[in-house]
Amino acid sequence: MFMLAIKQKDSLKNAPLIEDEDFDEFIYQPTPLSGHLKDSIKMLYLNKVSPIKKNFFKKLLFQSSMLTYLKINHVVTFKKLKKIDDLIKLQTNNFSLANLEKSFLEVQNLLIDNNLSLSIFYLRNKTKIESNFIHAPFTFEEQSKLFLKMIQSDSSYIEKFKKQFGYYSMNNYELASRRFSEYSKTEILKLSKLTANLPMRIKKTDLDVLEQFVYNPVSDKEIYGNILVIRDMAKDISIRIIALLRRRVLEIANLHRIAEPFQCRWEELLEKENQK
Amino acid sequence: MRLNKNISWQGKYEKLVSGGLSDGVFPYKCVKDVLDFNQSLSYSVIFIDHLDPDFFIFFSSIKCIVTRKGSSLSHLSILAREYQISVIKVDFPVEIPLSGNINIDKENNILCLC
Repeated sequence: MFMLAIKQKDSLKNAPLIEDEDFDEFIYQPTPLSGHLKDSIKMLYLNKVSPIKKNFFKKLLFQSSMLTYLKINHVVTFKKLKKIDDLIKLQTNNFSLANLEKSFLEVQNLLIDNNLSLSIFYLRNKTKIESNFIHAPFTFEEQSKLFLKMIQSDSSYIEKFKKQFGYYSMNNYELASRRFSEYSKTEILKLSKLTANLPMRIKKTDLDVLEQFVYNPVSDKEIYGNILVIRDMAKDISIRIIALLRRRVLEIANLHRIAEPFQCRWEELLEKENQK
Repeated sequence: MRLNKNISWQGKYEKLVSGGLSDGVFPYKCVKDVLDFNQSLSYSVIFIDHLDPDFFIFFSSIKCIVTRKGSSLSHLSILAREYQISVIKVDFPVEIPLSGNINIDKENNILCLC
């Protein structure tokens, strides 16, 4: 594994790593409160990547660890994420801001490792990926749009969509963004109309048997699929946590009569939460 | 960069996703969010600031996305690859007209606003 990393010692230089400006993709024009989350993730990422860029041996060690991740360790990450997901789904009423932030950063930490390994995988298999020889699994993005699209022919899907994807929103990671569960029927219908002609590579029947993770991946196709499933899952859990954070922020704002809670600093809200 | 008479701006682009990118002149529209969707139906190219997954909705009408920020492994790039939509990255100026035509020179990776 280590030898393989040496052979590819220059690959990191060409890897599609995240640039400073790419954090805009994470939250576009964040409010001060969401800016705190954006900065925390940026810090997590830079703490991981900066030492690797500066030190040749660290770079080699990093690449060898990424190769191990691609072969074996990503299965462990998947299991860790499943555990966090279950916890988030079960204990939705008992979360404080600090706990939610901790879980959020834990998921993001796993996501960063996964994204870095994806960069390495992409470099090694660029031709296969670019020529669509290996495909990405169905994403939550597609599943949510499929539900929206189905509202066009069956309005009972409004409730199903809200139940399944109610924690999503426009600009998903922005705490101030209203979640789809907060949308009125008319607003959802309006949104649904946008998807009328959207081509989909996923069908409703696919959702019933959607198990996309392979526990013993052998081929590149399976590894690529697994890494993208983990990425998608980590994003989904993060958005679920963001929705819970938003709910908590609004509860605190209500309790302390704060007119614009998303313009507050994170520390201010933590202080308010801890006040009796 | 030297400009031709009929070109208001041109720049070298980086191809993030090939899709079905071809040479030619295409109508483009600058969009900010999904609410611009109905106004962009007759355009085959959209200009966006960053690769926000929300723009997936536009896949019903477009062939190409021109972005200022993002990478070949952005969420939207991965989706675009599956739906044969091209994604190119170029540092286009903020003050370009909101709609118009672009010329794509695939061989030299050059995009011109005309």
